[in-house]
Amino acid sequence: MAYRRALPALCGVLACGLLWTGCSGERVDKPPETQGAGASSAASRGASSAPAPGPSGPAFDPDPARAPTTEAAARKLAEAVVAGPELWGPGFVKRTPFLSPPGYWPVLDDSCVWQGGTRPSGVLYSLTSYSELPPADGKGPLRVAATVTVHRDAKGAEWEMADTLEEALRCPDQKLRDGERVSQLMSLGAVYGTGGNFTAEDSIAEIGKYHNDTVAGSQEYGWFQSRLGQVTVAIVTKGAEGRTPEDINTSRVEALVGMMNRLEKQLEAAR
Amino acid sequence: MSPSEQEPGALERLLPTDPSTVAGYRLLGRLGAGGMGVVYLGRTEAGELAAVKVTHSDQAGDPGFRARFRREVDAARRVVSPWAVPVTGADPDAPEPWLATAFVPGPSLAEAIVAHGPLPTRSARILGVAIARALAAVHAAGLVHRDVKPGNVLLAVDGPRLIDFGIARTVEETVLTAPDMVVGTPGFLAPEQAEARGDEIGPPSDVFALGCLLAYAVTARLPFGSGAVDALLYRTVHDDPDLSGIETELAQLIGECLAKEPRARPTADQVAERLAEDGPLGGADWLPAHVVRTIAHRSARMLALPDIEPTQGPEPERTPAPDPPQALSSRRKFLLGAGGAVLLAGGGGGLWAALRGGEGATKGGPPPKKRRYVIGVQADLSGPQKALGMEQERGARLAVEAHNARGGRPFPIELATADDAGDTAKVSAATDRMTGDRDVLAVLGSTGDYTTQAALPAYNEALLPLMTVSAGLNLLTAAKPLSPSIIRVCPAHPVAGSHLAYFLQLYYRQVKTKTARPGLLQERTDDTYAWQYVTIMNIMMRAYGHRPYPRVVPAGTDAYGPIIKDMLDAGIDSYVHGGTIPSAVKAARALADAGFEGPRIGGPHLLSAEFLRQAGPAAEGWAIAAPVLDPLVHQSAKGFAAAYRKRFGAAPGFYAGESFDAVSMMIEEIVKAARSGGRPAPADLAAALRRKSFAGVMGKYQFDAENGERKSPRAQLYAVDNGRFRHLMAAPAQDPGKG
Repeated sequence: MAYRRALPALCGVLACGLLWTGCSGERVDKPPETQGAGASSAASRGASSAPAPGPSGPAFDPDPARAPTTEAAARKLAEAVVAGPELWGPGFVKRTPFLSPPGYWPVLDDSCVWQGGTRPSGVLYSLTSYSELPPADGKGPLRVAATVTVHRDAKGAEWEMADTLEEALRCPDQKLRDGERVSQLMSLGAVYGTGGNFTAEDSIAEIGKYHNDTVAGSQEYGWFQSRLGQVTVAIVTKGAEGRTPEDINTSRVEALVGMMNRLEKQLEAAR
Repeated sequence: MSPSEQEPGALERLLPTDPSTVAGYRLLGRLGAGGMGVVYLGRTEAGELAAVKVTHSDQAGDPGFRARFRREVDAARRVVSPWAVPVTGADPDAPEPWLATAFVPGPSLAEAIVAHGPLPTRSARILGVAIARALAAVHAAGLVHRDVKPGNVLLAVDGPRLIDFGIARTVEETVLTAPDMVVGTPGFLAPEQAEARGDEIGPPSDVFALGCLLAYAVTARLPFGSGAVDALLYRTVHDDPDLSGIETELAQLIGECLAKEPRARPTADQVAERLAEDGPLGGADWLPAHVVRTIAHRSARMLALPDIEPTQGPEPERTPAPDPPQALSSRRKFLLGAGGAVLLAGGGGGLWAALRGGEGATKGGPPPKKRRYVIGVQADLSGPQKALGMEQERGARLAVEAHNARGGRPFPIELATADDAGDTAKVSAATDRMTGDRDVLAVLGSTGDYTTQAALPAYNEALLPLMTVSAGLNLLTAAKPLSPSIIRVCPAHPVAGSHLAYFLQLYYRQVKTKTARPGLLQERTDDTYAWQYVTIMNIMMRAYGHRPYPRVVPAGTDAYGPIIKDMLDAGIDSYVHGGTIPSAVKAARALADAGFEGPRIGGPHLLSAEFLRQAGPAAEGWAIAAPVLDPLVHQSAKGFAAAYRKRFGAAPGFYAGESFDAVSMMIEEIVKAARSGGRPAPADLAAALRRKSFAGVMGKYQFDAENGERKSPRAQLYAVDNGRFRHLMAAPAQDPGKG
């Protein structure tokens, strides 16, 4: 099981992938010694500096006949893949409603507020499921959700990944709905073979702070998204009081890797 | 009790209040100190090293303590195993009771795993056999160790050693321990220890800890996780261990050791037998070569203690110490002759072969090959960045040739090159070439971010300094644990990105734009690079009160017309390209077609003739930030530029001057070390380079001693002017402030 083997690596990405290190915007340095200005002719001395192409993707052998091309097929795939409590871990239960309605497509508007939107034509189907770990022993409810989005083609899925990265740059602070918002979002992509990603053709880790008006203080907000071919899978976790980052991380790895496993089985040729 | 705090890497000077001798031992330094006493490194008259633990006199005033001390010493003396560090002397009745054990200079298993990561399964099995046998001997003596953990296993070339009977107590004497006191180390405690069920603690508790230790050895993870102690103890008592990633057969055995019910666990003897089924134990090749090398370095450093006479060769016939134990006399041979790692038992020809990477050679063996002084260059000499790699190699070559041409030089220096072709798949062949040559002392390289990142673990393992002039990936100096090897001459991408933000802000202030609309494009071919520039600029532009317009674009997208149109429609007044040349060329054309005249800025990927050639007139007016100075216009580089021209028949390109400086720094340190004592160990060289202050042809260099990052690095700005790169200015390294 490729994914099982890759679990520790992915755990690393989820736990540490967002560390923003080496950044020193506040650095105040003394100016160096005087430098010669003036013209120089350096055109012929430049160097090409494109990086070497890396490996293209995980070991994955899709059967083209199984790639969904209709909304109905995409829906069936999404329903088979989306993570419910069984993937999130012991104690998780479904929330009500459990599944998003057909046509559900939230959009981040110009004021950084999430609104209902219209599903783009390049998206065949998108399904979100809602689960939670109910409050217990003084610990708050751990609310989570999983989303599967089936695009018409891989290019569409690539643009969805880019859009996700763009959203965090455009809106580091976002309003999810009344009473819920996130702040200080930072989103880091890792194509296959980089940043410890050996499970998906592309992956995104996004971490921020979650604020709920009914609870004092802030918790960790995490959005993790992976792409395989024309499909993206994503999970979101909204931390709660008393839930440790380790617990949350374990659940999200299980859910994300579980969905990638299901997705691979759905798209690969029968063996 | 025995020297539990023995930390061979951390020998400290004696304090003025310390005695100079204890019993027959001359004290050389402090290995550690704790609440109970101090552990010294001592030496017998005959030259044997020993760890000598001396208890505080206030402790000794407690008659109960003295009684316990005596019992522990007696018990420890009953432990006879080649894999347990022997007690070599003790005096419970001295005013300050002391105890001496043989000194093992190798690193602990804990240190080795931190430095090198988990052990291969085979090494771990051999380690398991030895420690299980040592524990069987402990148990046979009627003792329970109670604190089996990686810090209490020392690695020697011929096998591991179990140390620290500091809290070992005979089974019948648990009464000496406070009833509810948890003794041992969380993470390695058996459930019965975690719950302080004193009467249930016995030899199986050590077997449980051995199971944890083996799991840790092959995964670098604890089977019950880490974190808060009470949660950890709870998981130890109630949860199944996490043995994922462990080879099935070994995982099975570890699982049995970790049975919650003490009686369900195998005995230490049984563990040893089952682990040993594979093959015989012993030989010097039980550890990976790089770990052996660390041991050798450690040992060499210990042998370099000033208080030990210089050793000319093995002198086994010297007057022996009074009543020398067998192990000590062979140890002595080693100490006097080898300069390698400790040899207590089981060593043979193979051991010496493994030690040839060390600093000496045995007399009577094959004549030692003459040692060379070699500086390595790992670079992309045939791949996408070959032009840049070639400049680095030439800069390095010029520095070496300048040294060799100097009169009065103590020795010539050679240059060894390894081409990684800018391909991470070819990196290990290149690093093997460098680390496999014991005469290589330091390496310049590599050219690209990811080849350098891929190469770094090998250089860390080999403790070889690696200086890069062009790899800006932030993680090289920031990933934990910090690399002991990396020394970065150029600014990291986020630092260069912050300088670019200052530059842009300076522009906005000059044109008096308070609320600007910089367009930031992250193109994902080299996503990590693009992300580092765009993210830092986005954060800083927002902090200045501007409204950046970021776009993220998949790799391989061709449609830059619509993307640029979207950005212009959004009202951008400057454009920053985080991406590679092909996308920059398309963006430059789209911007030129749209008649955009605001600042257009790119990162070091674009400081390339290829960008100029492909973009043509569309590149005119672009500003490129890059981590290098132009050796043709930099005043102090005039002599270098002339020498380069003479040697290579062409003007020096970007990165040649910084490479010349980096290698000149290495040479200066190597010569300095050689003049003051001999060939430097590469690990010491890395530390010395980080402490160095150097005035080179391209500027002054100083580094952060902890992470190897250059102090006050500056990005430089170049303008594309008439198809050439013209040096504009050093990018501002200071915040110009809000508008």
